[in-house]
Amino acid sequence: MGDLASAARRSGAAAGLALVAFAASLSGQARRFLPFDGAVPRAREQVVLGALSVERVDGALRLRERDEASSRPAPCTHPEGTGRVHALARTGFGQCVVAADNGLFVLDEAHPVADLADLRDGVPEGAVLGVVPRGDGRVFVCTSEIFACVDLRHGFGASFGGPEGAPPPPYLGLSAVGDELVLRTAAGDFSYVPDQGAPPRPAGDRVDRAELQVAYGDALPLSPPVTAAGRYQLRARRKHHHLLRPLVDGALPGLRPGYHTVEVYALDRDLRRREVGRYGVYVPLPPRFSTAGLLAAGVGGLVVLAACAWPRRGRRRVARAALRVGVVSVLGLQVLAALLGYGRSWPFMGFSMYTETYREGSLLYKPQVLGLRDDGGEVALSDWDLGLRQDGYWQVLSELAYGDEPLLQRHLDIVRSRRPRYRVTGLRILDTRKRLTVDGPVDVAPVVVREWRP
Amino acid sequence: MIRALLRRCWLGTERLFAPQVPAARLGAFRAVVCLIALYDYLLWGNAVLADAAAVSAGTQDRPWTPIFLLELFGAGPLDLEQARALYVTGAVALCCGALGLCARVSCAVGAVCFYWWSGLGYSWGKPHHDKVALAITLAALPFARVGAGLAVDAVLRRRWPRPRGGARFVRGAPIRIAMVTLAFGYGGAGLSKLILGGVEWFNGYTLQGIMLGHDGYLSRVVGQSVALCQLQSVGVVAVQAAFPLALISVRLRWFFLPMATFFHLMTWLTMDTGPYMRVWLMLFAFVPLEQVPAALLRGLRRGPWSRAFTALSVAMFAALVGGVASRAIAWPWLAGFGLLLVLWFVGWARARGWNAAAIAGTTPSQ
Repeated sequence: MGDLASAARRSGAAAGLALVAFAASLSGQARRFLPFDGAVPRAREQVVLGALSVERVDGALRLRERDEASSRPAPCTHPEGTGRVHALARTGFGQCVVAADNGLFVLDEAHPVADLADLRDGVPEGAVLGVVPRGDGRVFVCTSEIFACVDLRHGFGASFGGPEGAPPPPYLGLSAVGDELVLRTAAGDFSYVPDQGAPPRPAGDRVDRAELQVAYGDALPLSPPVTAAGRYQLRARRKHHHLLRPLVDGALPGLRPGYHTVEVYALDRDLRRREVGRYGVYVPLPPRFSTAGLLAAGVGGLVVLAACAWPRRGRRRVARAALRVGVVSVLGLQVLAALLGYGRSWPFMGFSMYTETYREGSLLYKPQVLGLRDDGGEVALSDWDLGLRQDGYWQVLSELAYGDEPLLQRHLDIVRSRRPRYRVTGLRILDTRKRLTVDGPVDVAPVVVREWRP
Repeated sequence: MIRALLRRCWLGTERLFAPQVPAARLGAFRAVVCLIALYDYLLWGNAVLADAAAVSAGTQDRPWTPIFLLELFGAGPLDLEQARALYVTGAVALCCGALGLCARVSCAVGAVCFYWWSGLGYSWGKPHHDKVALAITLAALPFARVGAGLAVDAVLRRRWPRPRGGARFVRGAPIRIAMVTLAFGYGGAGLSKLILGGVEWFNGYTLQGIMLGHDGYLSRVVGQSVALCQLQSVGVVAVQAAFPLALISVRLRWFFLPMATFFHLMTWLTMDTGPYMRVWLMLFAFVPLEQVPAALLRGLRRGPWSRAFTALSVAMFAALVGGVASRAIAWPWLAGFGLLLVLWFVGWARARGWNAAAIAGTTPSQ
């Protein structure tokens, strides 16, 4: 009996140890903030972008061309300027990111104007005290309260909190020592090595695929099986939309009637992402708009209309009735389309185009694909150059931003065959930006969505 | 009381939408509509055929999102062979429609093919709103006597198998439907900016954003100043919202038709929308087309300045239309068509001794 009890205790202890080990492996990332005793380098004072030098002088942002003796204040599209500049960093796409009191700014050699980086969700607010790039469009930043990873390519971020083992705030700054990030806090310095271990991946290394259906107005619940060491978040995009939207309570809202291809990505806290699910989603029309319902309503309406429009006297009554019914139907459908406003009802369409409004500070976007040469040169490519058949810029951006290597290789081969003199060896997919200011529109640094070389 | 009112409304509808117009005007309008439709049909040719080729090859990666019309008839994607058949049928039918050969049947077949062809393009991509009036008018053509004037049908009817008289006036419902659709389109576009955009639409930044967001040739120049954009916002919405007045007043057409054309040309230059030629050529619905040759002849006979102005205007308009149309139709065909028009005009003028006053007047009922 005693043996049995001790065996049970031993097995219980073993199970407990296994559980602890499992939990530790799951939260493995949580243990990677370690006290740092070495010398912390000072934040960079200068970033060189080709012939342009971006400098931090007494907390102010200044620019200097290669042949200029002295620097000049950097122009800024923010009405209050950048505020005090705390750090500079050079991304792998040849842009300079500026951590400043008024936010995270970005500029490049072709657009030497500091402009707020394009960030949508998961990004800390307030003065940015430090920034360290990862070379692929991600940057690590800290404010006095938050340490976070931000993906500049897609405009979102993820904050580190207690579950990730982040040291308690307030934070004082952020530096890089080799591959390590050094987070300076009031309680001391802590190092963190990003991108350790494998990023989240689909369970069984097979992307979950399914054909789904959801009622119009309902959010689509999505829970693809994911293997991950630590916490991860899920984001989704619909084909032709290049932005990755966070799922709301594990579901994707806002799907309109029709067929959608939805891709789901799992991202770890360092925002490394993998596609984990791809679903064909059909959203049927609401019953009141079903084909049979519309047909029945249309026929019924025509019969009633014909009865009302039938001439009681006179010649050629059939022709006159047909004219009356035809005219009223065509006008009625035009009015209906104007009220509902939906393109799929062509040729009866609404008028909601160009009714959006812009104001001072608004941003304008336009996707663009650049061909990259080995000598460092770039050339703008047209749809035809790339062999694209899409009739909208966003579709182009989406296809190239998420396309696999064979697809990009195919487009590159087309460029080489159609434009041999361009000598293109790589592609850079951009979302160009213009900022509307009181002094007129200003071209600002684009969002580099992807850069690819075979 | 209500019945009498309803009856008056219906009779008014008949008078408004089916006025008596010269058969030549409806015939010319038919030719114009069929030619615009043919241009559009050919313009979409490469895109639709490429999609069909991808369907045949099994490499189609664009999502098929059918427009309601195709969904209603259960029409799915076509393979290359089927698409080619539809392409040829539609193009031949629209050519016959333009010539007025079996005019009503040709227009009907052309309209079906046009809707199907456009539907294929829009179902593989996104629907556009630049040929709404064209599509609705094309569908209305077979329901009127479009072959009664300026048509091979009319020539044959007069001469073969025995000489017969033709109708000088016919019901012009397609013309009126085109006019009302265009007026509704412009008016709706203007009013929706007022209602959905509100006062903020006129802040200058909005038009600046719309122009620069599409980045046309002149976006930078025209959209640089916020104050100038504010002024243009007011002008654009005023022209669009008030355009339906052109339905009522013939005089106001001298203002609204050039302004609408100018508006489209400017959007082409400032917003990269494309030329929108399908829309501004459809504005010919507001023009008594049978009077155009006589008006040109008067312009050419009035004196050196008038002659130069007329010739220059026609040349510029022809160059503009030819230049835009050359995106879909080869230059030799366009040049040949232009030459035919010139020869026809010369023959027509010579038959009247180059005397515009000798031309019998017709009564426009627009």
